[in-house]
Amino acid sequence: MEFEKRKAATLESLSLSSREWDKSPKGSLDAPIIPLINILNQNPSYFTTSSCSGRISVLSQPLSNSSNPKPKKKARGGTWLFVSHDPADPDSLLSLLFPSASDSDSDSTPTPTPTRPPFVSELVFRFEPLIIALECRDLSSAHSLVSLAISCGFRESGITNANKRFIVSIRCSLRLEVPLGDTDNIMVSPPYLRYLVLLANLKMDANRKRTHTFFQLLLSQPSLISHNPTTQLSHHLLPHDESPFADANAATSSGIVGSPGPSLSIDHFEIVGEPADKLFLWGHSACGLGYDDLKKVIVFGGFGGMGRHARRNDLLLLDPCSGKLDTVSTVGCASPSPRLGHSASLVGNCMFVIGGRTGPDNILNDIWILDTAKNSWKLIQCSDDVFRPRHRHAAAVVGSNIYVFGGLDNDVIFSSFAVFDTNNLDWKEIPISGDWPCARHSHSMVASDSHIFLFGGYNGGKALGDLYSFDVHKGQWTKESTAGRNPHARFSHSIFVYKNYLGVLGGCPVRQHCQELALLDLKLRQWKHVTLNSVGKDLFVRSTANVIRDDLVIVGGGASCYAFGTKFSEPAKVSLLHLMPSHDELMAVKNQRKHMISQNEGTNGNNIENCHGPQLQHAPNIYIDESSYLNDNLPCLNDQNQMIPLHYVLQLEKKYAKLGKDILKKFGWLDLGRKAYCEEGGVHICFPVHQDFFAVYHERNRHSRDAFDGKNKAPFQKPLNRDKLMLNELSCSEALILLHEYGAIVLADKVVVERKAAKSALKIMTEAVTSLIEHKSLPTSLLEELPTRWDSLGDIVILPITSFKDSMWDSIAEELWPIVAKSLKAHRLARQGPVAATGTRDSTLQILVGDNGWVNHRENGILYSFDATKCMFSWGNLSEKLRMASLDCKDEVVVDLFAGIGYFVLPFLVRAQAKFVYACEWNPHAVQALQHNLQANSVADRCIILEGDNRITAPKSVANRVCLGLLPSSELSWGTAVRALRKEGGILHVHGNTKDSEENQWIDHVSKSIYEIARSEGHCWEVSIEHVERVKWYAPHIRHVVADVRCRVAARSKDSE
Amino acid sequence: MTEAVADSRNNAAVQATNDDASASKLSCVKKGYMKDDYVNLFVRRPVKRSPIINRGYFARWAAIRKLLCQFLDVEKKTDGDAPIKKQILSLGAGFDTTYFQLQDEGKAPYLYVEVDFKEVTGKKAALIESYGQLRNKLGETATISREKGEVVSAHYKLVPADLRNVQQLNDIISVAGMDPSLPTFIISECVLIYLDPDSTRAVVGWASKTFSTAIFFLYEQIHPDDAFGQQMIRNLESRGCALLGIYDTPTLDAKEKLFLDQGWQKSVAWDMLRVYNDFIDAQERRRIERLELFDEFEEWYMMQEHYCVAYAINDGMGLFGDFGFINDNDNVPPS
Ligand SMILES: C[S@@+](CC[C@H](N)C(=O)[O-])C[C@H]1O[C@@H](n2cnc3c(N)ncnc32)[C@H](O)[C@@H]1O
Repeated sequence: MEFEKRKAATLESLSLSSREWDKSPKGSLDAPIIPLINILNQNPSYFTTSSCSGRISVLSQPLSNSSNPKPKKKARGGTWLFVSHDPADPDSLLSLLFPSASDSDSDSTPTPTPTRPPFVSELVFRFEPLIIALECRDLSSAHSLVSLAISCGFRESGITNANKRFIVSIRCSLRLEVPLGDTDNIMVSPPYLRYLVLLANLKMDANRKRTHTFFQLLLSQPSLISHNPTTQLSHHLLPHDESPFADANAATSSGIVGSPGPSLSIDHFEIVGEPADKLFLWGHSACGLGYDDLKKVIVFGGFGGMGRHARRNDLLLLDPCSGKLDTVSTVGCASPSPRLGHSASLVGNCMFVIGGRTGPDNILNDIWILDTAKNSWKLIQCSDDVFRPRHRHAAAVVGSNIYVFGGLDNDVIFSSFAVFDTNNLDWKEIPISGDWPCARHSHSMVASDSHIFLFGGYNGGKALGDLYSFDVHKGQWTKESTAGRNPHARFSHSIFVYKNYLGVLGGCPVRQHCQELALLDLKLRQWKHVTLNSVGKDLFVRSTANVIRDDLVIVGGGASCYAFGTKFSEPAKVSLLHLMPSHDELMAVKNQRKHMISQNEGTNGNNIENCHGPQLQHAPNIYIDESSYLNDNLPCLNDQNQMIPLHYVLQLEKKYAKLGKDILKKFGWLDLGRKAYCEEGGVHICFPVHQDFFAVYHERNRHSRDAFDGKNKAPFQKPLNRDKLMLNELSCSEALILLHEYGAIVLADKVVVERKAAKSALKIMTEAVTSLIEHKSLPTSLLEELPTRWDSLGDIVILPITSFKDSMWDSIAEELWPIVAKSLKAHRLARQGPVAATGTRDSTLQILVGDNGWVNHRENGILYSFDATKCMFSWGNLSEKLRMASLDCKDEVVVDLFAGIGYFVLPFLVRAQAKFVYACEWNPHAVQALQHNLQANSVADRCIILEGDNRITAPKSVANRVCLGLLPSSELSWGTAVRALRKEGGILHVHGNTKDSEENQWIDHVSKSIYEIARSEGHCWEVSIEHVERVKWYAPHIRHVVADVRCRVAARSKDSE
Repeated sequence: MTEAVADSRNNAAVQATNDDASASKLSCVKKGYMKDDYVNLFVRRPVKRSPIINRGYFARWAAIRKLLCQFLDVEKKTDGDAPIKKQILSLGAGFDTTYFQLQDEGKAPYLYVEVDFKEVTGKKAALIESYGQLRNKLGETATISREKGEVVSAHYKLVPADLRNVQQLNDIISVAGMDPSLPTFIISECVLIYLDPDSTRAVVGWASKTFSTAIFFLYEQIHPDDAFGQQMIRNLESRGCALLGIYDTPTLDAKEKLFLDQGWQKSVAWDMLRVYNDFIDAQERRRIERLELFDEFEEWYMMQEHYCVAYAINDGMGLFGDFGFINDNDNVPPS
């Protein structure tokens, strides 16, 4: 019998008589699990065949094979004296088994209970947990149900496969079975029985909780429940309001499993500054850099980017508050090769980039350090026998160590775990111990305190869904056992830690979890799942996720979707604040932090860890009272608009320098990523300290001030026996007091500030121009016309046409442009010119600084040179150029009717290997550039330039292929194009702009017109549209499209419809 | 624009997908993914595809091949003497070469019928006629008509029809001389998804009513709604071959339901991720995974999640008890 039929039959008997439906010994359905049973039966993949909600019972089993009279209730080989599906009342059980002893009121006649058999039987006290038997449609539905049940604690659940039917039983090991003696002689005492009942009731409670969890998870699991609209019919079976779990719900700690938290929404950034395309990446790295309000995300490498997608080595800085994106230009000539699949870890101010893939068979093991203060790269040399080349590995930082697990090198998937000591700059392999995770790549790791969590990955055959943690102190991996539904197995996802949650986002496969964020409560070790709104349209695959304050900042991600093109996710953020049950929790965290600091006062060195500085990875855990910034003694924050991460130094008199440095080192406050420097001719030494120290030290100060009437001078006596003072014995707070005493003050790191300031071109330009117009007494409203973004072409920086529009600017042009050029570090400066008369939106440039507009642009292995003031370069054509380049035109003659500077002529010649190209062009500047370009690309011998109107100059009957790249329409030359084709036909690439809603009409018009033209030229051609390429949006709803029109001689007996 | 014109342009684009399929198959064959001595005859301009596309076509080929062989190997348990005659009906067959391969392997069924638009069958007929390797496989009595787009031979028939026209479907039976009572394997590889949902239902329903002992095999796209799916839809639309049917059967469940609703006794749909991991022979997988450098693990997963194999069974003769995805790879954990 088919599954459906069996199910229908079973369910029918259920609705006929719920008593008969259940095949369990007891003969009726247990009330507490009716909703659970219903929800299972609503699922098209399951139906239940028997069940019990869990029970406490006393069973009487005959000792011998005496012929029993048939009891009403029958248990296998026995009868029940007592059954309860709720916690049992010890008294009623006592009165049942010890009628005389407990029932003091009625000692008249010990009337035996009617169910009590009149012959000697063995009595057994039992607790049995929930058990459900179901049949499943197929193995996979059975598997998913079993794993769900197991995750809720029904660990003995499993599948039996009987006659090709998949029977699942759900059960667990919560059991109790105690023989009590026999009906004549009960061998346990009433107090012991009471104890047994108590134990059983506890188990009953645990059983209920598990059952409830299971029920909730089933409800919250869209894939398991109600994916078949037909099942909606049976919804009335579920008495939502009378859920017997209502009380159990209250019993479980609030808001954990099953009650899916609030859904979170994904906000996409409005990126300003650099074009957002620069963040269209995958396989890049991202670290949170800087501190708190000023924290930014530094992105390196990856695949994608502007223009042609490629491996990158750009360094980008994203400010998640303002959405400002900057390219970090580094000093010095060294920089890592473009790569993806590397890891980047921030230790102090240094970002360590490890490994990656720089080419299909070029896997790396190099380590590059970016000094984020100096913005310079350094390649580290270290012996490479420990750390083999790899990509798709994962790294996490604890203290000054970077831990790296797994990865891939061609066919080799690693399970090795190595640690890189950033102080000594060397690798150590960690010896295998504990529950070692299997070899994998494309997994993720994150550190939380001294633990490193590792989740998921790909083992070469399957996506993994396991969670491990590594205890840095013990040096051991542990496979985490967690409650709640585990996140789906996946790889190329990202994980992060926020407060006490470990989050898992995105990854592959994409179908199962694209809508949710899985969160592990690290205290309760319990998973919960939060729905993400709008994520369905994002591909968080090989993206990065960094916690910046209370936001999760997600950068990049995407994939080339098979043959269907490439998809990148836009940068986005998710506010995690709503994960917290209420604002109180934030307060708690805040207080906790304060508490933590004060707790350290008076404790000894062994507790120092608490105020150990800088683990920027979990900086969000550290909450610092904002008021502390408002102290005049301390460096003020620069205004919010200046997006410069602050760096601090501790200034000490030279004589205290040695001790001060030791203290800073010991407590991990010293920032090893920056250098100490002298001030005032060596009177003071400034030690770089982590941002964290700033808060700690300030807190200390305030405390001492509070205590001593706000006097600035600390009334402490200097320790008498300074020499004897053992650094080892110094507590954290003593150390702070000492530093204070020495007159140490925290200052902004001048070196860094100066250097950083030089970076923000926009700011410099704004300042410079502001002072210029002030000087010229021009209205400041002019400043609104300053550009916030600009393009570049070769070494020309191009300002948008909207900038500096007002004619007042012209009056100061002479001074203005050099200033702008200088602040933007441009050799040549230009502005987008007015729209060209051709009716296209392209425009030429107007040179503002520099003596000519000639630029070289290299693209797809082709060099284009042109005078940007005379010709325009169409950036939007890139994909079409690539498409033409990818053709195979070895045996073809091509005519390009609108050759321009050679946009398509060059790809045809250089890449597609065209036999010969006729290039028609009437703009003499373009012809000049084209001539140059043919030479520069060494293809002049295969091309002839026909200068003038193509309707006059174009050759006839020569071409296999004609390109008509003119916008908005090339229609005036369609006749010319048809005449250029050979007698036997060929292909036309007809460009045009069309409204998206009228694309079909346009295509139709093209094919009909070409057909008609061909006919009038005396050709009997079959005209078909082979392909329509959508090149780009030209204006809202107007697209630049190219129709590939194939013309071929019609078969003689044409069977037209 | 008249509808007929739009339709014929759309048809042309859909027919063009066939060239794409053949070119991709050839790319696979050249890289050693599978053997096919004939596909090269149908490809005008060979192209090299990326590893992921090659792997995808291999998975598609291996899945259908394994199920097809299960069908061809099925024997009636009771009478062991005469082997049962079987038929294969390939809808929207394009330039598929399975028949010629089965001939070489000695596995060809009693009757192999291919159907496609006349534009396509015409071309195919012409190619078969012009290549001896193909023509010779058809036997002496074969008649080939390019004009009619027809090939008629003893065991192989190529007939033109528009699948959207039920009358034409019925005509296939008589024109190709099919026997509806014989066990029949119906192939629809990336075909029904291009039809409007009503036509798809009509084809599926017609097949169920016509063949009482049959397998209906389907390979096509699913999940149009996520980021990958949207990209897929957009791309195919821009090529003029919209997946008209995908919103009607966007999920595995919907594919299964499509068949059940049209009267099939049983249906099973798996996505290709699962088909590849749990159904295709592990040894084969290992072999082909070594053929090319491959780093597109994510793309591979996503792509495989967006294609599916579905099959439906009508088992009038009780032959197909063991047919389908369940295989020895599945070990059931002890309970
Ligand atoms: C993507 S190709 C697949 C070809 C072949 N099944 C394979 O897998 O290699 C789709 C085929 O379906 C055919 N097709 C689509 N709609 C059709 C219809 N309404 N009637 C007949 N054939 C159709 C097309 O002509 C084309 O050959």
